[in-house]
Amino acid sequence: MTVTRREFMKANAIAAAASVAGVAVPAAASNVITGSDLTRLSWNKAPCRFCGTGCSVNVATLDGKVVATHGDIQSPVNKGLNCVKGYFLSKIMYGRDRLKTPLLRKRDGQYHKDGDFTPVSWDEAFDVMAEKFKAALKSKGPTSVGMFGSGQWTVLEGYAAVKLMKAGFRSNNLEPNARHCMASAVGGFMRTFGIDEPMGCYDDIEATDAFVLWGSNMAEMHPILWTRVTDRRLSASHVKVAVLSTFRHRCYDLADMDMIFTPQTDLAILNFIANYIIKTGRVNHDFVNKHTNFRRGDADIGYGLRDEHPLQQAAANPNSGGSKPMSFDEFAEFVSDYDEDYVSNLSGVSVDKLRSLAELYADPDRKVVSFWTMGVNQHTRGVWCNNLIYNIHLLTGKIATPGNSPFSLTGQPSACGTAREVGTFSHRLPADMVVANEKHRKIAEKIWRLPDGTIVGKPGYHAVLHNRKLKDGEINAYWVQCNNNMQAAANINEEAYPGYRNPDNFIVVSDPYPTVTAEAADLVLPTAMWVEKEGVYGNAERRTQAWYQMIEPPGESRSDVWQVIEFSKRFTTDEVWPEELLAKSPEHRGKTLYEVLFTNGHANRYPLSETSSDHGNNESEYFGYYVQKSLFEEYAEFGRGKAHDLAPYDVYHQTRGLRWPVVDGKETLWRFKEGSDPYVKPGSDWDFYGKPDGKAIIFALPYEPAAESPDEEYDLWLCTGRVLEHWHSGSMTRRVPELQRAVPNALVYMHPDDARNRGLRRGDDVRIVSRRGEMRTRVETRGRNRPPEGLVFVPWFDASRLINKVTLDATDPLSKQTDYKKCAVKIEKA
Amino acid sequence: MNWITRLTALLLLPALFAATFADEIATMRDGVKIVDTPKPAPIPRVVNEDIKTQRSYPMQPPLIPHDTRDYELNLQVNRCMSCHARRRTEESQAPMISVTHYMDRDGNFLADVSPRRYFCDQCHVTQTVTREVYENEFVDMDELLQRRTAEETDD
Amino acid sequence: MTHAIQSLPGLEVHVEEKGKLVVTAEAANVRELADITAQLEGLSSVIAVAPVYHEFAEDSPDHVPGET
Repeated sequence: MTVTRREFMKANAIAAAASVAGVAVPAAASNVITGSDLTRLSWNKAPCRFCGTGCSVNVATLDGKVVATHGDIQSPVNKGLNCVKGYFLSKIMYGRDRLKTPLLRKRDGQYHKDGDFTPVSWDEAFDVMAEKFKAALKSKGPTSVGMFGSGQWTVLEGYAAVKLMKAGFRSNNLEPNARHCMASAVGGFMRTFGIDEPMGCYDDIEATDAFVLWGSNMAEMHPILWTRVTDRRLSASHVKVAVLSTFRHRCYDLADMDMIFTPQTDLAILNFIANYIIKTGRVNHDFVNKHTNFRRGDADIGYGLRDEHPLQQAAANPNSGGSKPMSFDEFAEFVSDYDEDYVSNLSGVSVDKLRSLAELYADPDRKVVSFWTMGVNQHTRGVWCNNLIYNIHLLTGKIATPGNSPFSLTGQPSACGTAREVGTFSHRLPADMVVANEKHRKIAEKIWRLPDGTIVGKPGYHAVLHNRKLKDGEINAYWVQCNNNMQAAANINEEAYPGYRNPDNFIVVSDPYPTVTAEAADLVLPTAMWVEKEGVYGNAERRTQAWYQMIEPPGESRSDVWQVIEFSKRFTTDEVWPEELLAKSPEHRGKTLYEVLFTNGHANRYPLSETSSDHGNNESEYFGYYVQKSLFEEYAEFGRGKAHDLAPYDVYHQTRGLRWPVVDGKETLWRFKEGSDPYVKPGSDWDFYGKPDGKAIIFALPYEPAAESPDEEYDLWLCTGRVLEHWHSGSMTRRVPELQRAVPNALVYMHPDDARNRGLRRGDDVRIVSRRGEMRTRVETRGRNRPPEGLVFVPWFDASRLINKVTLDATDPLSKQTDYKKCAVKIEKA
Repeated sequence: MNWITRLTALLLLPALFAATFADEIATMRDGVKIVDTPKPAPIPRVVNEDIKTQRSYPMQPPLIPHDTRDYELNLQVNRCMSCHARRRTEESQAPMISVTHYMDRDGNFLADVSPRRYFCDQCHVTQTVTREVYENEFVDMDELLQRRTAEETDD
Repeated sequence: MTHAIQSLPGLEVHVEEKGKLVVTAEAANVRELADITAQLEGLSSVIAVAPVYHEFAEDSPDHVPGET
């Protein structure tokens, strides 16, 4: 017999009253639960759902519900701590408006682009969806379908999507939202080292003598890493913390050296530091000679805008990542232009501070960790900025040893593990391989048991292009999973919104909650979240972590991976592969993509009996084989033996994760260093084996201005970002009452003088206006962020205050990553 | 159309309406179309009643029940500790920071607060009086246990 | 006395001991609750009524969304 809430309340009332009256309480109303059986909760580990730090949490369930979480004491990442968001993980799945059935826009009982959302069955949902995808493929071919996935997808979800899109539909229009977050970092790694992801690990924090934060608000965005930095700084008095950003934020509370620089001038400051190291004779020539090459990169490369844009027309080498070899002396000559007076004037940072900062790098006896995230990556010269940070670590040999670490921080929980390592990008394949390379395509085709030529060599459209192509009607069937791109992508009014609402396009959105992206869609699919499914994530320090399913998803919601695999049943090879391909492998004729991609005997080789007997596994029970393990082990074939080694799947459930490459059961803490990385050529000391000659590249790259700077009319810089209490677009955290009440709305943080000069006061209702759109919010002049005069900051977590109507979709031309930190706005009273 | 039919049509409409969702399903835009710009609510004040609220589960970091505006928390000063440090609590009557805050990364107890806990505001947050709160169906473990007990005694 | 109380709508007696009774009252809104309390106090055999515990159910018009 179940107890209703009413009965429960009554029981409480009786107990309270009886206790006050001093009479015996009827046994059923006792308020103190005794009996250890009843109080025993079921605890399981999982990585946190939020940022790239990748804390581990213990999750308590009772009667099919998550009732508590705790920072995992056993995880080396967080050792028992969480940030405030992590402490409320137990509530993120329980928003009342959780989607429970598929919703299809209908009018008069039929799908209609302008219809009202109507509950439908999964069958009907997939019927319509398959029809639309087939129609697009038939009329315009694979370039007319697209998928936008996520750095919050599990590894299995990303891998299944890669197979469906690249091998099934033969479309390379698969992109993750990680394009908005880490693409420049990836570009930086590939250019400098030839291989992705950090060479150091979090252990560098406890070993270093200095921290330099480049455009990274770790206190709010990587809070647990910040606790480790704080611990180190406050435990060892010689340790210095230097913070550089375009506005003052919470990290400055721990700073020994605080610098505010004019947006985009980080490029100049970095070149100054290189210049300083050379001029003061602190280049580690031994290291530089043995382990680096110098190259001059092409400059004047444009801003990733539409080709007709005047800035693109004016660029000398639009989109060029090319470079030419140069000598050390030529490099020294190049950076000598960046002297302290020039850079001080340009950046607004005093000469003294520039010198102190440079000294942290130049001093051979001081180990230094550089941290950066979106300030450097969401930058129209983000790849260059990444290259320049590596430059100063390479010139001094301060790299890949404990405490010496240029550490690119990843924002999302699995941008590394899923998006980057699995290759869910328009140009990539797993394990750092690329579609453009024929050898790489053949490796994938072999593992996937597919005929030669299945995978298309031409890269597809990247994230920003997705929205432009939707608007132009060139992508017509589009599937969004596990992100909120209508809120996240820049320039909503001109590109994103018209793209989704273009009558020629059919947009499918999979999400647990009704977000603005769901609202802009035509079909919404209810999706399972986090511990409602078994999954794997990979964090910023290359630590892969796994978790089991702990509770049931509500209503008819299903996980992203279930959706992808189930949808594949609707297509046969005859419908989506050209005759030439079918002729090469007649055994594939007439087979569904489900049979070819997911149940071909290899991709499904682990049986249901191997799933955990203590946990549910909805996907495996449904499809009849161990879905997660089978996908994982097939995916792992790409990287094992190629410096991307993953341990056997089951090991990840037993440990608090392992940092790849995992060779002979041993994880790798520092890559490229002999003694730590098993792939290093013996005797080489450092071996940057991503490059054919084992040498990393030091690049000569100049300062170039931003795409849109303030002018007469639009006289303020707009910088966007996040706050501690909310993750990304707030679809999860804003449904937790404590987090929502903490920071309910996105405000515009501005300098009090800027406000006063515009006749504004704190709390005023204002319009933030750019050439592309506007947003209304309230002024904050004494919040946690204190911008300098001339710049304002607005976080993007608020669905009712869409700052991305205002932002510009200019990108780094090499990484195609949007610059969310710089555009020009004006602010006026509403 | 005679009056009987019209009446029937009127009666049918509510049923139809219930079977579909409106167009604007984004809960957090409160029915405002994506292309429109809603009027922003005023900045709500911070709750400052000093009344402890019930934690959702034992390990939850307690919310800050008072305003912390202009409280400095940096290398030079930790305002929170001026009331919540052990040696200050008798005078301040503020709750002492949890004993867990005296443990280092490896679980050893320290004489004073561990530096890893220094920035209180990474785990503890204030609340505002905003009315823009979205319903959450999280169930307190106490309630679940009560239901179980009730079930067992009812059998 | 117990019979007299139980005959009033919305009231239930749970404990009776040494002249003290533990009673619950359920009503659609605060106004009705006030009426019931007044009726209770009006009974000649009741000396005092002390409300101890008070909670709004979710479908109550007095319930404020977002607060428990």
